[in-house]
Amino acid sequence: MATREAGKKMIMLKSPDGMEFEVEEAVAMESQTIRKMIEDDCADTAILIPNINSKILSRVIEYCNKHVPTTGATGAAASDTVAPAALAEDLKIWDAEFIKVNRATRFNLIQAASYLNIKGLLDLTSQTTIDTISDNSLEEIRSFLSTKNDYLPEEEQTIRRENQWAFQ
Amino acid sequence: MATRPELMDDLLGEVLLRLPPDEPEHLFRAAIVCKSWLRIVCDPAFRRRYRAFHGAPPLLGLLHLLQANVYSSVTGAWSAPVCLDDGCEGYAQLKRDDIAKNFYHLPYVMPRRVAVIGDAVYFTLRSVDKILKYNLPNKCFSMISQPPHDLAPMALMVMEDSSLGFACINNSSLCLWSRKVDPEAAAEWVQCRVIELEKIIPDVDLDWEPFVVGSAEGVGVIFISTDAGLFATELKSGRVRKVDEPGEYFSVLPYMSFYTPASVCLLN
Repeated sequence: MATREAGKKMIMLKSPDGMEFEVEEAVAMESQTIRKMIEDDCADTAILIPNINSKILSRVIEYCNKHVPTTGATGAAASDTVAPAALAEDLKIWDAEFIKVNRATRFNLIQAASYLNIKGLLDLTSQTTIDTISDNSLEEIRSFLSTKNDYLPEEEQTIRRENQWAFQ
Repeated sequence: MATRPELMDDLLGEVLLRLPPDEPEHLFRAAIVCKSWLRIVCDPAFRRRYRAFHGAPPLLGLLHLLQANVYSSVTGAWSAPVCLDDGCEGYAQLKRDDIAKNFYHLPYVMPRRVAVIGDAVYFTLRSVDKILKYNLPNKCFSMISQPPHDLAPMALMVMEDSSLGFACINNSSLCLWSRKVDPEAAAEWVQCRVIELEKIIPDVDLDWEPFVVGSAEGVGVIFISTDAGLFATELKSGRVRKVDEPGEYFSVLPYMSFYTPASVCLLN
C-alpha cells in the first residue's frame, strides 16, 4: 500500500536508474498516465517510470509540485489570500525560469511530458521549439534542431515558389 | 564530437501539433525543414490530431450569389463584401452576350464542393460555361473558361498534381480535364481521362442523360446520377459503387470527417 502522511496519500515513483521519489498522490496525478494507473488500482507498490532518468524525473516532479491545483480542501486558504491572476502570473514567471535548460534536457522533458501525459509541461517544453520555427530562418531551425536538409535545391525552390505566401 | 540531441518523429509531431492554426504558414515552413518533417505534417493522422487539438477550423468565408464576405480569424472581423462586377472581363463578356441574346440572368454559385488550390478557391456556376475563381490575397473574383464540352452539370476537384480538375459527362463518357498552368503561356485544359459510362455502369440508359452531381475532395471520387441509381466512381481504382436508388439528385455533397478519406457518407 502507498503510505499515508499527514492525511495525504503518497505515491512512490521509481526511475530506471534506481532512484525513488515519494510524492503526494495529487502531485503524481498531474500526470494523466499515472492518474490512470492509480484509478485502475495499479499503483499499490512503487510505479516504475521507464525511459526517464532520475535527473529528468526530479525536474518533472518539481514541475508537478508547482502546478498541482491549490484549490480544494487543503488549498482553499491559499486561494483566498492570493488573487488567481497574481497566481497565474507567478506561475508564468516560474515556468519561464524552469524551462531555461539546454536543448538535450528540454528534449528529454518533452519525451517525459509526452509519456507521462502532462499537458502543461508538454505545452511549455514544446513552445520553445515552436518559437524557433516561428521566428527563425529555415537554416536556423535546421541548425537549432540538428536536422539535415535533405531536399534537393530544385525541390525546395519549387515548394517555395508554389507556396510563396508562407515564406514572406 | 558527441551526437547532438534529436527529437524522435512521434515527439516532433507532438511539438508541431502546437503550431498556431491561425498562422498556417508555419506548417509550410515546418514542412520545408526536411523530408521527415514534411512526412509528419502531411500524415493524415497528424492532421486529424491537429484538428482535435485546436478544435474545428474557423469559418473562412461566405459566398452568397456572387458576393463574398471573408472572415479573418486574426482580427475576428468579416471583410467588406466583395462583388463580381464588370471589372472582371469574363463577367462583363457574359453580360454582353446575355444582353445580345436579350436574356440576362444572374449566374449563381451551385452548392457543390469547391476546389482550393494555392491562393484560389474555385466555384461551380449554374447554367454558365464558366468557373468562378476567388483570389484570396487580392480579394477579387474572376471567371475562367471551362473545357470544351456540352453544357452539362460538372464537378471541380483538385488533381493529384495539384492542378484544377474538371469532371462531366460528355458524349456518353465521364471525361476529366486538368487545367495546366504555365507561367510562360496561357492556362489550358488538357483532357486526361475518358471513361465510357456503359463500361463502368452496365445497366445505364444513356438516353436518360446521366450527369455528374458531385465529387469528394482528396479521394478522387465522382458521383454520377443515372436512371439506374446514384453511383460513386473511384478514379484511381476504377471501382464503381452504387450508393443509392434512382432519384432526383441535384448536388451531392459528400461529408467526410476531417481528412479521413476512408469514411465517406452522403448528405444530399
